[in-house]
Amino acid sequence: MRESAILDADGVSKSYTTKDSGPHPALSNVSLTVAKGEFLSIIGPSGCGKTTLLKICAGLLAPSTGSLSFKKRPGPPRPRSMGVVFQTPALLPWRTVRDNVLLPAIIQHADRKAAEVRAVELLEMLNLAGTADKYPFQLSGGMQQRVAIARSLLLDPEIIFMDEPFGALDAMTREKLNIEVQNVHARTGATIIFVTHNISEAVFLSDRIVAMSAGPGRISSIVTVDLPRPRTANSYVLPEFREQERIVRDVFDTAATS
Amino acid sequence: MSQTAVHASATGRDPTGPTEGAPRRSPRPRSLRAARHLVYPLLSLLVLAVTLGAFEIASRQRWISPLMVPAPSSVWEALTVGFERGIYWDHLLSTLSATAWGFLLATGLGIGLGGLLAALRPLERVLYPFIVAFQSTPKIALAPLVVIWLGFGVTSKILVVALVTFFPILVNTMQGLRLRDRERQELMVAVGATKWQTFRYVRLPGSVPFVFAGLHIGAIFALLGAVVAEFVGSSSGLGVLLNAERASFNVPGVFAVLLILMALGIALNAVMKALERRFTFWCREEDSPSTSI
Repeated sequence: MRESAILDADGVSKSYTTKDSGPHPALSNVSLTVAKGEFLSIIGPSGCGKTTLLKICAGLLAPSTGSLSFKKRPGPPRPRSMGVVFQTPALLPWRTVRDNVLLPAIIQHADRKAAEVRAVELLEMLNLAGTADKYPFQLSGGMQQRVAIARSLLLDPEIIFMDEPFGALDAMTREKLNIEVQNVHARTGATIIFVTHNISEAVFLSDRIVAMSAGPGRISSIVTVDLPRPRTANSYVLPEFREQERIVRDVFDTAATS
Repeated sequence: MSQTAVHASATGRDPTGPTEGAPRRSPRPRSLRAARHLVYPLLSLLVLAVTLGAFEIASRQRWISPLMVPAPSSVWEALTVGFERGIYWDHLLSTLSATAWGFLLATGLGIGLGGLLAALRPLERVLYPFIVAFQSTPKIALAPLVVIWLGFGVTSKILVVALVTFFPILVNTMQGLRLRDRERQELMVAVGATKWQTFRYVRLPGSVPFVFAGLHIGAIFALLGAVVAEFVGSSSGLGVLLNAERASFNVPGVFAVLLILMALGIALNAVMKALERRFTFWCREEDSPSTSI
């Protein structure tokens, strides 16, 4: 594991300073090593700091203490080697789907021609063919979030951070998108860190699940998921899946009550 | 900031949007729907006809003095005769060109200064009290002063128009550029955007609905400014004509000019609405200023 580590968080803490009650610890002494190509989920009750941890790993928040290294280089990954999918699609409403997907290439001054070819591929891969010239408001929530995923994949990132990307979607759409995320993981070989509070989603997608507990946020345990891939819609009803789910739920419950 | 009441919140958005394969509204026969669309315009027309008819009768029967409210037919006559004699065209053109030039001047200055102040926060802080002070002054009240400075020509009219139009455009531009959508800011950090790129790709396009709201208010103020400038002192324009008709107690003539001004206002509003729709078609609730005209 150590050999293939891609991201390393060492003793990371974060406290927010509020006006009336002084510093409020959100994250306390979290250490985590993510292996290259791994699909790692972070679950936990709300307020346990899972989004904070993700944002620190992605370099969107600075840790109060502790350090981070990406591929043995100190600091979070450079924007060029990472993709981020947020809780909301965060598309720019005045740009077409194609231009939204191309945004990272424009910002990074990447080769435009190659990016356009890649954008078409990605839209097809995410079942968005034919929407390239549409605007975000013409798409459903599920489709918008798929566009956000396509955008995060444009420059073939080595690591992708997903912060409860499907939290606002209905269960059916969510299951469909989980299968697509698994496909993305299989096809790109990228490392994915995925925040969710949905246990079966975490079991379905992950190689490892990090369970966090609140007050202040810390890692309570890490569960390895040994289910064969590719997992399909039928996986949810398999006894092995149910068993894994139960294990994670136990961990989750202890985390929530401790 | 009474003219703007701009408030856009990033909360309250519905991230789900239309669901995939949501059922459509039950189909209704086409003819029935068309009829429903026609009902309200027809009722509006009916209200207009009844009102005009009532005034026509009241005026002819001398229930109200024609010196107060002339019969609609005599207003119509004054209007058509006026157009036949060609007394309106020069004045119309004069008002229209002052409105347009003043509006363009204010647009340039308002967007330019708004952009500058949004980019330079210290400068904004220094100038903010003055902006609020001017914003709170009824700019129309400056018209007599402008006439003293610049005389009865076109220049003073254009300046008055620009004065009343400038502030709503300025304030809205500043509001729009100041808008920070947390998710979009975070996205731009994640893709490695510089400050300038965030401005160029997020804040600038995001301000467009606000700028257009300002332009829309500005366009209406512009016509108002032109007419007031003409009242206060000018040699031509619909406001001048209105004053002249009033002085000679030609009440139908006054109403005729009012009708022309009304038509101008409606046309101006329609043009601004069309432009707004063209440039902010993507705009949903969370991206829009809550001003509506």
